[in-house]
Amino acid sequence: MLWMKGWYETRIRLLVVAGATVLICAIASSDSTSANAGVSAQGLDATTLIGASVLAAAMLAGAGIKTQAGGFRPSKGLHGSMYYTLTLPVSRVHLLSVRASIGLIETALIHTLVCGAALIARPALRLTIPPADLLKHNIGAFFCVGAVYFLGVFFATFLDDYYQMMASLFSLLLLIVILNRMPLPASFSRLLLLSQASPLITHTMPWVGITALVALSATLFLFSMWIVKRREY
Amino acid sequence: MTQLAIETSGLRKSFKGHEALSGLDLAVPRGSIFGFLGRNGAGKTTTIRILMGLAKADAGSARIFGMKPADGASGAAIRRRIGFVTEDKELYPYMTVAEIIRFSRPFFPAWRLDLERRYLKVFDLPPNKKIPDLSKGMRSKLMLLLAISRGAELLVLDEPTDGLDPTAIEDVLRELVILSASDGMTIFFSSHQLADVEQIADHITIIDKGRAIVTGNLDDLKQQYQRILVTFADSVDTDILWVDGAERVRREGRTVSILSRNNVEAIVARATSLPGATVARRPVTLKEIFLDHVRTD
Repeated sequence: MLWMKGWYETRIRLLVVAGATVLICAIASSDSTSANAGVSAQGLDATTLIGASVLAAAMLAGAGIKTQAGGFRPSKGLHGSMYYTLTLPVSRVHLLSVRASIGLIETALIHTLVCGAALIARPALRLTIPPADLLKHNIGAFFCVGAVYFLGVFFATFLDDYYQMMASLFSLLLLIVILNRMPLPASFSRLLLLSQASPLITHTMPWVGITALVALSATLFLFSMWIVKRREY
Repeated sequence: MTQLAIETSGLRKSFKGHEALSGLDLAVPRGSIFGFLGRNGAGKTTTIRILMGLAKADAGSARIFGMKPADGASGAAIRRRIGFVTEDKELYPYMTVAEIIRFSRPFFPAWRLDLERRYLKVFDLPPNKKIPDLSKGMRSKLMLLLAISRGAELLVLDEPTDGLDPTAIEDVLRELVILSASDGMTIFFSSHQLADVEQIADHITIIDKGRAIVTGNLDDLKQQYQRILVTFADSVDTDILWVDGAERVRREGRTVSILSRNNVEAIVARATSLPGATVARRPVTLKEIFLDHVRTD
């Protein structure tokens, strides 16, 4: 039943995100001739569409265990109904886990859509990159998107939806700026799954980076559970 | 097995330096209809939030059926035995009446289908209507249905009659009495509607500034409390009527109104002995007990 509730609350959002993703990909596709000309040997620039997955992750991570509108019908008691949820005979950790799982599955769906759309938008990818490398790259990219998702879940435990999204994206932007400006140790490059450590370059599965991202995501989720268990509503 | 459904002892809670609860003691007997009264900001909702495990007390203890309200398995076990109606009566805006009933049912193994059907009919709830399209009164009724049908042993109701019209209030109060009498359900409810409380409660606690100031069996309290009206030919100093047992002494012109608890005869004797005094006594209503205790003038 909690899964049903989560689906009710996120279905409109998922639809909006999926629509936006298709639109972004369509725009990219219409510009495919010039894009194809610019595809590098590694095809890394084509993965800029992963940005759509990242945006989706930030949006789908909202709400924490608070209730979302689940539609276009305004309701001033949006968060008032969370008292009903919290007085169900279910632990808060269970509530958060179900909610986070639903969002993660939806994020995976959007990511798959984005990866498929990238192939359509940039036909040159299919010709220049071995499918196995592309698959590995997309799997690695999903773990990056997943970390952003869990950052969003973490923020959602104490921020409302819009602030949570802004906080997630601002944190990500800050990280990108830091990564671009600071000289990093050579060993750190193994964690950069969307650039230096991408299977499009290395042709191997980036296990070290994936492990690091899983650890980061797990840590963020553990912090989220810790906050949800302790906070007062 | 404890005979108390709810028990708090020395419960304290502060918010940003404001003390919402300052040592609240409560004892709610099983099977009682317990009225929890107080002005706005007296600490009623804070108490209910602590009891429901939504907030934590700074000090003191709270127990429901002898167990601490908390998160995790024990908290879930307690919540399975409690039906809760929140003050704002908010439910999921994307569900219909039928959908939220269907959603809630599987969480409660003791769900009472008979009560669900009965209250759908008694409260005249439209199954296919979306929750935002219901009036506040209808949402109150829906929340009551959801709380009652859980098969709960304890109902915690925060302003349950808020938003209801007089006929609906009568319906709800009647049903609460029936539930308490037939199922032995304990009903703990906060309300500003003193007439509602007086109509159905058998026990009450009045809280003010976060602590209980009057508590007990309602019939006993109404027997213990009496209003003594002393009218003087000339003006008089009210201090001389502060006899043991006089809880409030107020002058209204040449009449002195004394709310007394116990020791009534001694107060009457004292008043009668004063020169030019005419003494009358009468029973008090719950409203008088409440106002005399919480009024600051």
